[in-house]
Amino acid sequence: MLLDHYDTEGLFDEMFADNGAVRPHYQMMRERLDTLSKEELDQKIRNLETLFLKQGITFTVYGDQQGTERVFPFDPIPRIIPADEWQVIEDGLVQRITALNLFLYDVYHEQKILKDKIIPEEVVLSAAHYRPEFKDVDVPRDIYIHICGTDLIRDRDGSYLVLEDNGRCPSGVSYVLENRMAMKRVFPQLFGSAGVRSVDSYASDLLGTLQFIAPHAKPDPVCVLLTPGHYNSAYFEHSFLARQMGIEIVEGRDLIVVGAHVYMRTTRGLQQVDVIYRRLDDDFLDPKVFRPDSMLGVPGLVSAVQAGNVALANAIGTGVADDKVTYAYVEKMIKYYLDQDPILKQVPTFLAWDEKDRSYILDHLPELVVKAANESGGYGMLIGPKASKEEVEKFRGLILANPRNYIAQPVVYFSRHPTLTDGTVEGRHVDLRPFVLSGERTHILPGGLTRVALKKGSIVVNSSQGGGSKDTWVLHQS
Amino acid sequence: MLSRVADNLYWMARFMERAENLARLLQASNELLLDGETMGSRSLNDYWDPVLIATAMEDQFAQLYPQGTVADVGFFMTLHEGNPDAITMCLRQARENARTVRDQISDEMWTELNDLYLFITAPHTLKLFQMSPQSVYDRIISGSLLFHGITDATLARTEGWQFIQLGKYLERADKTSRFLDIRVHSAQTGNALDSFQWTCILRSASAFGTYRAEFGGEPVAEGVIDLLMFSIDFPRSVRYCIRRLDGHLHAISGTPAGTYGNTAERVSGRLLAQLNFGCSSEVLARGLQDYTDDVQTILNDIGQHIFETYVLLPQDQLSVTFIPSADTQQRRWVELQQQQQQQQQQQQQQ
Amino acid sequence: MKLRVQHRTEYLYTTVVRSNSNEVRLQPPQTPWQSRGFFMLKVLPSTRLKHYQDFHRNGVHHFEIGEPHQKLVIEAQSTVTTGPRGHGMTDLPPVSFLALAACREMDEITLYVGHSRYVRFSPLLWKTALDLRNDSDDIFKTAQAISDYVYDTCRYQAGVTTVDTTSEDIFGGRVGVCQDFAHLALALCRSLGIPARYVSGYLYDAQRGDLRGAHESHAWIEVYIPGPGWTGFDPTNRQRVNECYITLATGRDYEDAAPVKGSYVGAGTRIMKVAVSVERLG
Repeated sequence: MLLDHYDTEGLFDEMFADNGAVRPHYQMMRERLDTLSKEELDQKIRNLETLFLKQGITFTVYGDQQGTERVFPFDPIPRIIPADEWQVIEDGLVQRITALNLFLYDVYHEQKILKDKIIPEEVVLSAAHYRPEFKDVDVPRDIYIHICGTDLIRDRDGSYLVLEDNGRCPSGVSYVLENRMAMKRVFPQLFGSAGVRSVDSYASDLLGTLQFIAPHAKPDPVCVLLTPGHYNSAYFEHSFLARQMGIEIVEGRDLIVVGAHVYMRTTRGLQQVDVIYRRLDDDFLDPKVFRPDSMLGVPGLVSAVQAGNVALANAIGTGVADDKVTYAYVEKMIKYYLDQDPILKQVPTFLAWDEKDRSYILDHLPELVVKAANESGGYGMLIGPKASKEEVEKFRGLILANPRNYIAQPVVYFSRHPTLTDGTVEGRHVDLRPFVLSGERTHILPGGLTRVALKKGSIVVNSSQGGGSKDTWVLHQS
Repeated sequence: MLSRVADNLYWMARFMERAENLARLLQASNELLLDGETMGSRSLNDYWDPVLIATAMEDQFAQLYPQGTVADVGFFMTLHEGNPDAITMCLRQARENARTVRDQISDEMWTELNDLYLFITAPHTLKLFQMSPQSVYDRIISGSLLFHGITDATLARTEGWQFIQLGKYLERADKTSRFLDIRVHSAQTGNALDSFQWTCILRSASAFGTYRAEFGGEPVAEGVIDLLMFSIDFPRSVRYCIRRLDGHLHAISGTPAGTYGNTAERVSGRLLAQLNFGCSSEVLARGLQDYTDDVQTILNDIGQHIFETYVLLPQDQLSVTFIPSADTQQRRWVELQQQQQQQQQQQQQQ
Repeated sequence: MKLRVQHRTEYLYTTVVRSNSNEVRLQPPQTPWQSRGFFMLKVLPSTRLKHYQDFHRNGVHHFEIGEPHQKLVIEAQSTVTTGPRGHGMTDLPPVSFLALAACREMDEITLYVGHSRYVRFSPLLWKTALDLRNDSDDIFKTAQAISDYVYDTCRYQAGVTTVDTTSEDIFGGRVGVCQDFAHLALALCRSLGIPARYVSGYLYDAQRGDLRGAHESHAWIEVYIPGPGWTGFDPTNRQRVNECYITLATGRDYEDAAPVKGSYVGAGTRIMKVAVSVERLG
C-alpha cells in the first residue's frame, strides 16, 4: 500500500504524529489511500492534467520568450485542517490584517506609531513601496488592504507562523477554487463524507468587498478587474475571477481618465468606473506619477484616486506593509493598535539596517536565510546552509552596499505532507496561503492554497521554481 | 461591451477563418500538385508561387529557403513560426485573442480553439505533416468549422456574437476574392488559365460540388466568377458574406436596413448594392484582377471603419499614443507590452 | 450557543475636533456562563490602544486622538459562547429578604444598593415598589414583579429620552428605551433593599424577530439573590435573562457601564451612527 513505507524522518508531518500514528483528522484519508494503487492514483492525475491543460488552467513561465504555459502541478493528496486549528488561523489573520490596515492608515496620516517610536521612522519612510503622494489622502472606508494572501508555515512543534504578508496583489486564489473542483473528481465519495467547508463563496465575497468600497457609498457601483494583460502569469486567474464575479476584465488601455473620473471604452462610448480591482503593481498604474514608461497603466488614474472618484483594491502604497523590514514590526503594531498579543507568531527577523543585527547577520551568513526586502516569488534570496561560498560572499557585498534592503531569518521549518512522487508517496514540505478579504467585515476563505515543494528536501514552493499545489480541506466543527 | 473585447472577438474570428481558408488553399494546391506530378511537364512552382505572392511572403521565403522546394512552401505556409501568416501563427493569434476574452466566450469554444492550437503545436503533428499534409489540413478545416458551429450553438446573440460574425464574414469575403485572382499571376506569366486551375480555385472555396450542381461541365471563368463573387446563396461567395456582414453591422448599431448610421455601414451597403447587381461579364470586361483588387480595397475600408467606429474613441483619433490591438503592424508594441507584463510577473508572483 | 457580535459606532463631527479621549467597554468578560473566543477592537483614526480593568471588573479600553479629525469609528468584534445561567430558567426557590442582611457588607453588594447618578428613588417610587412586593418575602418573585411592572406600564419609544434621563424622569414620563427601563427597575429594586446592578450587552433574537434591543446595544438588570447570586431580568422584553444574552459590562447604572464614553474639544455638533449585529454561528 502507498503509505506502507512512509517515513516522517523525525520532521513535523501533517498526516502522521511523531509516534507514527495517523492524526485523527486524516484517518478517513488514509483509509481511502490504502484502497488505491499507485497506478490508479497516477491515472487520476493524468486525467486531471489533461483537463487542466484543455481548460487553459495554466501559468506562464517567466523568461521564456514563447510564454510557455504549464499546468501548475497538482498533488491529489489533500491537506486537511481540523476546525479548532483553523479557528486559531482565522482569528490570527483577522487580528493581523486589522493591525496592518490600521498601520497603513496611520503611516499615511498622523504617523503616530512613528512619533511614539514604536517603529523607527526611517524604516517606513525609506521603504521602496511607501508612497508619499498618498499622505493625507483618504481612501474609501479607510481600508487599504482589501485582499491579502498571508503565507503560513508550521514550526517544529506544529504551531503556525506567519512567513510573509502579501498585501499588494496576492495571487493563487483561482487555484484554490480549481483544485477543489479537481478534488471532487478524484475523491468524490470521500469528499462528500469528510465534512469539508465550501470555498464557493469567495467570488461573491470578493465582489461584496469591492462594492463596499465604492466612492461615496454609491449603490450598484461599476467594478472592474484591471489586469496587466494576457501575457501575465496570473492572467488565467484574472479572467477566472472576473468571470465568477460577472465584472469586466480590463487592461490599462481600456480605461481613460477624463476630468479626474475613470471611464472604460465600450462600443457604446465611455462608461464610468467606480471600483478597480487591480492586479497591477503600483509602479505600473499611472505613467504620469510612477514609471513613465509603463504601457500597462492608465494616465491620470492617480489623480482620480486622489480626488476620491474611484476606489482601488488594494489601495496604492500597501507595499510598505508587506516590506520584509516592516514585517519585523508587525507584532509591535498589534500591541500598539489593538493592545493584544499576536495570535499567530512570526519568524524572528534580523534587520541589516540595524547595526547590531547587521554584524550578527554578517557573522552568521551560512546559517541564515537572507531576503531582499522588496522582492517576492523567491527571487533575491540566499539560503545560507545550501549556498556556495561565492553566493554567500555575493550577499555579503549586497548587504553592505544596501543594508536597508536586506533582512535575515534563521532557517525555518516547513511541515511536511505525504505527496505523490515518481515511485511512491513521500513527505514534501508545504506552506499555506489563506486569503483574507477586508470589506464590511473580514472574510477568511476556509481553505487556501497549500503549496508543496516537489523536489525532495526543498523548501521553495513557488510555482515558478518547481512548486506544486494541493487542495486544502478545512473541516466543519464536528 | 468593452471596445477591446469587441476587437478581440472580431480578430479571434478573423484569424480562425484565415487559418481555415489558408488550409483550404494549401489543400487544394496540394491536390493539384499530385495531379500535376502525373502530368510531369508543368513547372511545379507555377502552382505554389501564387500562394506565396497572395500572402506577400515570397521575399521572406526566398531568404529562408534559397533552394526552396515544393515541400518547403507547404511547411513554410503551415507550420513555420518565422512566417507570421502561417496557419500555426494564425491559430496562435486566434487563441491569444480568445485568451484575452475568455470570460466572454463559452467554455466549449475555448476548449475547441485551444485543442486545435495544441494539435498544431504538438511535436507529432510535424511528423504527421511530413507524412500526410492533407490530414493536417483536414483537422484544421474541421476544427474551424466545429469552432464556428460551437459558437453558433453556445453563445448568446449578444453584441459579442455580432462582432464574431463581422470578423468571420469579412475575412471570408476577403479570402474568396483573393482565391479568385490568385491564379491570375500565373496567367500573366504566360500560361492561360485552364479549367484545371479553375478547379483548384473552386476547391479552395469548397465550391466544386456546388459548381457542378449548378453549372455542370468543366469550370470556366464566367461560371466560377458568378458563383464565387455573385451567388446569393452560396455561403462562401463574396456577395453572400457581404449581405451577412451588412446585416450584423445593422444589428449592432440598430440602424434600419437600407440606411446607414456610420461609415462602415455606408461602405458595406454600397458594396452590397454593387454585388447585388453585378455579373461576370462586367468583371471580365474590366479585368478580373482589377475588379478583385477593388473589392479587397473596399473590404479593408470596411474593416478600418469598424475599428474607428467601435474601438477607437473620438479622443484617440486626436492622440497618437493609442495603438490598436489587431494586426501585424503593431507587433513591436505587443512585444514591449509583453515584456512589461512579464516584468510584472516577477514582482507579483509571491 | 455560539454568537458573533459586530458593534460599530461612528461619530461624524460637523467641525474639526481634537483631544478626543474615550473609554469603551466593549469586551465581553469571561464568566461561568459566557466564554469569549475572539475579540478585537478597532479604532479609526488609528491610535494607540490601552486596556485595564475598572472598579466593577469591566474590561475597559482607552484611547486618545489628539490631532484634529472629523470622524471617529470604533468597531468591536467578538465571538462568545453562552451557556445556561447557573440557576436555569425555572423559578428559583424562595429566598427571604432576611438573607440579604447577612450579605450587606459584602464588597460585591455594597455598591449596588443606594442611589447613583441615574438611579434615584423618591418616597412615591418606594411606595410603588412596596405595592409590587405585595408583602411577599421572596426576593426572586418581587424582582420578577418589578421587571414585569416596568414592561407593563412603560412605553418603548426611541428619541423621547436622552443620556441624561434618570429613573425618576421615566417613573414620571413612562416612556423610554432599554436604558431607562433598566434604570427604573433598578430604582424599584434598590428602594426595597434588593441589590441590583445595571448590565450592558447584546441580545440575540433567535426566533421572534421582534425583541427590543436586538439590533443595538442593549441593557438589562441583575438582582442579587443570596444563594443563586446575580440573577438577570430584562424589563424591556418582560423575560428572564437566558443564553441569548451577552454581558459586556456591569455597574451601578449607565454611567459605569456605558459602552462608549468620551470627551473632545471642538465646536459644532456630532452625528452618531451605531450598528450592532449578533448572529449565531454553527
